[in-house]
Amino acid sequence: MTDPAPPRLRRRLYGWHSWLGLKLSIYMAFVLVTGTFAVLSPEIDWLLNHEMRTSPAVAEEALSLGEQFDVARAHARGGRIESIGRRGDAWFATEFVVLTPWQERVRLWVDPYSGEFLGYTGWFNVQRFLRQTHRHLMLPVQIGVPLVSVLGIVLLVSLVSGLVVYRGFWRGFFKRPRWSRKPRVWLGDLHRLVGVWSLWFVALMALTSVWYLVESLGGRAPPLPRPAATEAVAAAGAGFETLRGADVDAAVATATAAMPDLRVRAVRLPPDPAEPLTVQGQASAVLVRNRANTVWADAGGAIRGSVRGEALNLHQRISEAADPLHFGTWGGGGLPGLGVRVLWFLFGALMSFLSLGGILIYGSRIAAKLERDQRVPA
Amino acid sequence: MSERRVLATVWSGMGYWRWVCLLLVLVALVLTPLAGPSRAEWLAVPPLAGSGSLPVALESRCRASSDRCRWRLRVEGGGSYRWREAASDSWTVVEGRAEGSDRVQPISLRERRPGRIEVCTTGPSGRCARWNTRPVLLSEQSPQA
Repeated sequence: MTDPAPPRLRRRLYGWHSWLGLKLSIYMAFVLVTGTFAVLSPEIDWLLNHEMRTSPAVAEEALSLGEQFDVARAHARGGRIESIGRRGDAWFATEFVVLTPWQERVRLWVDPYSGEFLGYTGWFNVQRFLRQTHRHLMLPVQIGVPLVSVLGIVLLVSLVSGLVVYRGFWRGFFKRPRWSRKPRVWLGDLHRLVGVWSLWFVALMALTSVWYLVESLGGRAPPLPRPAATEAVAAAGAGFETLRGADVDAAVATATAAMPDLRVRAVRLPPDPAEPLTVQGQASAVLVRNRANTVWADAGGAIRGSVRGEALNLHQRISEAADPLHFGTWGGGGLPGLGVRVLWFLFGALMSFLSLGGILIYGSRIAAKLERDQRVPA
Repeated sequence: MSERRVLATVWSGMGYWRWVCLLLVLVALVLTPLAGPSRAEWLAVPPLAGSGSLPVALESRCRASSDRCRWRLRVEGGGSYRWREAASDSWTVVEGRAEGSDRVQPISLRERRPGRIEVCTTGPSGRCARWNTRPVLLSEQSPQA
């Protein structure tokens, strides 16, 4: 079989592959490692903070979100509850984000089964740290997101060049590394083996990263439709304390009546009770964020508007799909969702190995060449 | 071929790009504290062991144009009030005594930023429970000498 890529092209692509992998290795490895851990960052926070854990985790929620809201309100100490977050994982407590009177955000946790107040945690946690470092290096978003997401192009070039350079890569899925040889050899074998198994994942991360770059440079999808009244920003703190758990339950009941297959994951509470509550979650549309399925309902229960994932246009659907695919959150809640995220974590670790292992291969190769050159008398 | 030699080869092979990469990584790490480990620990203050009391509010009398304020610590359960003056950027140790308790709680006050105060109360366990609050401007008055 004739080789489709001429040697000169292959040499040039190999040059690009090793140049990009070497020169940007520190930065690339940092972004890859933070991204890998970011996949499981809610679980890391869960392990670190007992306030986030329910015990024991049972399948059915005993309390409505409204009942839990009343528990949280009793512990908000004058703060305004901005949102309620209910993950699909039964072992996570219900999260209430509270804005304190001096405009600082904290998280308040309530056991959804017993209704017990579990405690407070700070707004800044492992998840925020990893998200912000991985997404925009803690820089302003307009600067940081393009700086990080441009690595998507680097990944794409590395992927394509790697495939061209690795002749017959499709035969490499079951090639065992030659462990008995020197490290440079088995590291190279392992790099290629991991590379072919991670092809799909590297391609997915590269494409979604390029999409984030496009978004950051102005290619953002049009915003989701909203009821006209919610576009006006209400005066912060104007009577929010009048909101009760019954209002939350009424809004949730309205939302689930309007969208019967809605699995509520978040409720956003307006600073002004005249504004509607925003009920969001997952329904029948696949690969969308919670915000794609939204019902706006008044505290009294009257519906003010709604949007379903299926109603979005192609541009919006691409935008919606990027996060679940990039973060590995498309598996939903419970053990299947956790399984997908663990898979994303493992492949993230493999990608990090590709970056770090690649530079070791380069280093070994060049160092060996230098040693050989030194042995040859001048 | 030693690992050190391999790493040295990699390091020199990176050229000036290593500094670009390190700069980006360092930017992220240096900016982390600014992104804010939460200053909201006050919400989670456990009752001070043995004292049976918990500071619930801090009130102040400040004059906006002055850098000296008077702080008042109110202790839940009708505790005693102590007044102290402090420059707003300095720590002042105040000894407070909560009513119903024979334990003296050393209390540190400082203003973390204009309009916000952090209080550190050290209980018998030696643990520093931090909390902060926005001082309530009771009335404008001249700072006391």
